[in-house]
Amino acid sequence: MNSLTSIREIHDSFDEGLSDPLSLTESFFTRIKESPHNAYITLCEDRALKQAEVLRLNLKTKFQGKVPRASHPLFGIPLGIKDVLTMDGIRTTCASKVLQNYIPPFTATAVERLEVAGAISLGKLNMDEFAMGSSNENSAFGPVLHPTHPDRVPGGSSGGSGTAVAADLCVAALGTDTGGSIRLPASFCGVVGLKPTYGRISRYGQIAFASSLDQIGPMTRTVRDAGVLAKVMAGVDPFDSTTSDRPVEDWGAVVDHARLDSGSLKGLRVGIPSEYFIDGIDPEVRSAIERAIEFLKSEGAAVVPVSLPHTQYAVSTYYVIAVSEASSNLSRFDGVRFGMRPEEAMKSSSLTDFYKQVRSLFGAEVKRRIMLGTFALSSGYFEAYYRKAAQVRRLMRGDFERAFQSVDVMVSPVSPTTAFKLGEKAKNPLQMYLTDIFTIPASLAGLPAMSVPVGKDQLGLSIGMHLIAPRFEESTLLRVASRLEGKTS
Amino acid sequence: MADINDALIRKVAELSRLKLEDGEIGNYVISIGEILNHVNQLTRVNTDGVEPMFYGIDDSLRLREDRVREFPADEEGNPKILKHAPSVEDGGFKVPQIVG
Repeated sequence: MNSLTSIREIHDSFDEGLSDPLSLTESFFTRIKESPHNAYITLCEDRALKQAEVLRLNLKTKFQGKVPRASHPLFGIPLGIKDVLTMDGIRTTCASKVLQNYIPPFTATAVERLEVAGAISLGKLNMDEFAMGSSNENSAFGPVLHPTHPDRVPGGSSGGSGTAVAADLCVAALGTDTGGSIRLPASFCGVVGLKPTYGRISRYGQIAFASSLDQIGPMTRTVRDAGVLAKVMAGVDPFDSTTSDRPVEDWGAVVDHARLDSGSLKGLRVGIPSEYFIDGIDPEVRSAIERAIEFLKSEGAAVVPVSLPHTQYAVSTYYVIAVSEASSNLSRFDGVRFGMRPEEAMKSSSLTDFYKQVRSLFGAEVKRRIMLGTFALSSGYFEAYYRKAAQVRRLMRGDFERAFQSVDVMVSPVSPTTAFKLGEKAKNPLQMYLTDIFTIPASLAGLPAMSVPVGKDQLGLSIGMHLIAPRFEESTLLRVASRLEGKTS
Repeated sequence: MADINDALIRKVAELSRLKLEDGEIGNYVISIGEILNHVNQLTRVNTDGVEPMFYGIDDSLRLREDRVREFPADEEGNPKILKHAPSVEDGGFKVPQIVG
C-alpha cells in the first residue's frame, strides 16, 4: 500500500518536494502492471504521463513548489475512470464487445471538470457490461478480483473502481450508480462511495443505462476526498438538462469542520428504517451496523425508528423501470455510426438481420435486461408493468418524504452480506438482483446516499454502512461519514 | 399476467432485434419467468390515483440555446464522429444495401 492515502497527504508531499506528479503517476503505472486484479480495461499511459509532466513543471516554476490547492484542488492526483464515461480519443468500451473498438470524440463533463482541477486520468476501469450487474462478473473483459480476497467479487457494477481504490491502483476513482453500483463495491472493497442527488452531477458523456436513475459519483479512501471530488464535478451543465443549479457547498471544508468538532452530530436525528433490518442479514454485518449506530448515539445523535412501508417492492419496481429505460437506451447500439460491426453483419439480407448480427455481441445479462424491458414496454403489458412500477416508485418516494419529516439522515447496511464468492450468484439473476435491496430505494427516489466502511467480518471482509439523506443534503452525509471514519473499524 | 414460454421469448427477442440461439431460449424462459414472477408482487400494491414517477426530477428541464456548433474535428479537419465509424463513404456512414 502506498503510504500516501489521501489528496491532502499527496499535496503535502508535493509541497515538501518528497514527491511530484510525474513520479507519483509513474509509480501507479508500475503498480497497475504488476496487479493481478484486472481492474483496468484500458490504460492511457502516454496521455497521463504528458499531463503529469506538465503539472510537474508548473509546480516547480509557475507555482514555485506550492500546490495551488484553491484553484486546482486535484492538482497532480492520479484517478481511475469507470469505462462507462467517455474521454476524447481514449477507447471507451462499457465492458462490452459491442463497444470494444469505440473511440469517442468527446469527454464526459465530470471527467473534464476533474482534469481542469488538475487530476490525471490513469485509465479506464473495468465494470459490469453497461453497468448491469452487482459482482463485476458480467464484463466482456473478465471479472475483477476483490482487492484482498481473490476468490471473491468486488461488487458491481463499479467493481474495477472499488478494487482500484482499495488496492492502491489510483488515488480515487469515478463510479456510476443506478441502483447501488457505487455503494455496493465501496462496501465490499472497504472504501468510501458517494452517490450524489440525482441531478447534482452532469451525466453528459456517461453511456446511459437507466437515465432517470444513473448518477456519477466518487469512490475514495477518505470521506474528505469524496467531498472534494464531488464538489469539483457538481453543478449545472448545459449538456445535461437534468442538472441542478442548487448551490454546491465546499464539501471538503464541511468534512474538515466535522472532523474537528466532536459535537457536530449533537441533536442530529438518525432514522433506522425497520424494513432494512430484516432476517437474512448476516449477523456480523448486523452487529457492525449496530455498533456504528451506538457510536452515533455516543456522539450525541438521537436515534429514531422510521418506516418505509413500500421497501419490499423496491427490487421489483427498480428492475421494471431500469430494464425498460435500458431497452430504449441500448437501441442505439446498431452498428451504423459507431461500435463493432461483425463481418457477418455485412452479409445481412435485411436491416433487421443486420441489427441482430451486431447486437449478438451483447452479453447474456444485457440481452436478458433488453428483453425484459422490451416486454415491460410492449403493447398489452405497459400498464401492468412499466406504468405500475412508476406508480409504486412515487409511493416509495412518498415514504422517504414522510420519514424525513422526523429525521435528518437514515442508516442501514449497504448489503445483507459481505463480498460473496466468484460464481456464487452468477447462475441466479434474481438472487443477484436482491443483493441491491437496501441501495435501490434511494436510487428510485433520487436521494443522495453513501457507503462508509464501519468494520470487517471474521474473514477480514469489509462491512459498509449505508447513509441516506434528503435531496441535495450531501453535506449531512459527509458530516456523519466523517465522524464514523476510522472510529468504528 | 403473461405466461413466459418459448414463443413469447422468441417474440420479445425479435422486437429487441436480438438473435438467440436455440440453446439460449430455455435459460431465458426460466430466468425471465422467475424475475417476472417476483415482479408480479406489484399487483398487490394499491396505486389507484397515484401519478406515475417517470423521471428523476420534478423541476422542468433546463434548455440550452439552440445554436449550431462545429462538430469536433481531428488534426486533418475531418469530423471525429466519422473517424471511428465502422464504415464511411463520402462523408457519410456506410451500411450494406438493405433495399433492392
